[in-house]
Order: sequence, then C-alpha cells, then structure tokens
Amino acid sequence: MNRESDRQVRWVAPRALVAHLLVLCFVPGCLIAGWWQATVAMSGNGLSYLYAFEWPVFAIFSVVLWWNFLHDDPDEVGGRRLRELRRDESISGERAELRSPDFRTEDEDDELRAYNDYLAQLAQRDRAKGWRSR
Amino acid sequence: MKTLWSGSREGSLLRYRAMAFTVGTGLLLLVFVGIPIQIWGHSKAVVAVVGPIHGYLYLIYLAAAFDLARRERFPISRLFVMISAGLVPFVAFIIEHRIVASLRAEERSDATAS
Repeated sequence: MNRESDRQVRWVAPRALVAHLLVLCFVPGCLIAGWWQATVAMSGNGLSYLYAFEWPVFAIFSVVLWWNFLHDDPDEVGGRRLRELRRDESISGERAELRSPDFRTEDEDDELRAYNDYLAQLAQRDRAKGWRSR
Repeated sequence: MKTLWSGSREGSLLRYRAMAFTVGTGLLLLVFVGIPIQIWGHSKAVVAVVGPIHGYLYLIYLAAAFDLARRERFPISRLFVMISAGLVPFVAFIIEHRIVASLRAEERSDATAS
C-alpha cells in the first residue's frame, strides 16, 4: 500500500468516472434493497432477515472493488496484458514454425494459394483470440 | 487439502474453483428445482432452505473471485465476468473452466520461456 499511496490516483479519468457512476447507482440500490428486506422481515417474513444483512455486504463489496479499481497500478495491469500478448504471439509463432515446411510452398497454383491464404487467415484469427474464447 | 487455505496461487485458484462449483450447483438447484416447486407445487420449502444458503455462499464466492483476481492481477473486466457468471445458470462452470485454462496456458508458456 505504501508504494501505491505514493502514486497519484486519477479520480477523473474516463474509466474512473464510469466506476464512480456504477458505484453511485449500485450502493444506494443495495441499501434500498436491504432496507426493503428489513421491512419485510419486520412484518413477519423470517427468511428476509438473512437477505436484509446480505444486501449491505454487497454494497460494501462494491465500494472495496471501486477503491481497488482506482488504486490499480497501471504498470501491473499493463504488464499482465503485455505478457499475455507475448504468450499468444509465441504460441502462434510456434504453430507457424511447425507448419512452415508444408505450408506456403514456392510452386503454388491458384487453388493451393487460395487454400493457404485461407489457412493463414484462420491462424490470424486464432492469434486474435483472448482468454474468453480459449 | 493443504493448499485450500494456503496463500499461494494454487490455493486461491482452488478456493475460487470450489466456490464456482458450489454456487453454480446452488443456482441450478434454486432455478430448476426450487422455483418450479414454488410456482407449480405451491411450496416454499426448497426455496426457503436453498435461497439463503446460496445467498451467503455467493458472498464467499465473491470474496474468492476477488482474491484470485487481485492476486493474479486480472483486469477488472474479467472480475466482472467472474462475478456475473455466478448469477446466470450454467455460466459459472464455463467461466471457471476458461479461467483455469488461461492460467494453465500461462504457466506452460512461463515454463518454456524460462
């Protein structure tokens, strides 16, 4: 935390403003829902006691998340992105090396060239895939 | 189960996976057993038991997901995906699978790079 507190937190960057907006909507929503469950619990629905305590926890969680998000070290997040990018490149690089002997020969006729272009396009699309599609 | 409580990546990942499985199963129970029984069976028995338990397990799931995301420096978007995965039937299992796959792929590439 010491190192993080040295860094200047950007409270008005676009991503920070989105986070402010989300928290400003979500926290009152949680509190209203918690209050509503509390009133339901008071009127005799025992089950609602549990939910009345759960909603404020969601509100606290979102505030913790918001705080962490604002204090994220951009170098660390960026470093991870860079490593992922390098990894994806090295994986597709390996794949290209494995393929290269029987892939893209000198004496391609039109049909083969079209097919190889298609394969290259597929490889390109694989490279663009992120963690969601893996 | 020594690694479950350890402060390592494996411990954090195992906690997240255990909670993703638990919450995913709990949500399926709630949506495909509890709610049909409440609507057509006119009985709140299942919902009254599974509902609150699932609600509090979801809180633990949030904590586990948050811990893993912080430890592994996930981008916030991925954490949002993990959080919302716990709210949609079946999706928790899919996202858990992909998170594990991406971390394993990273380990493999780190092993070959070094």
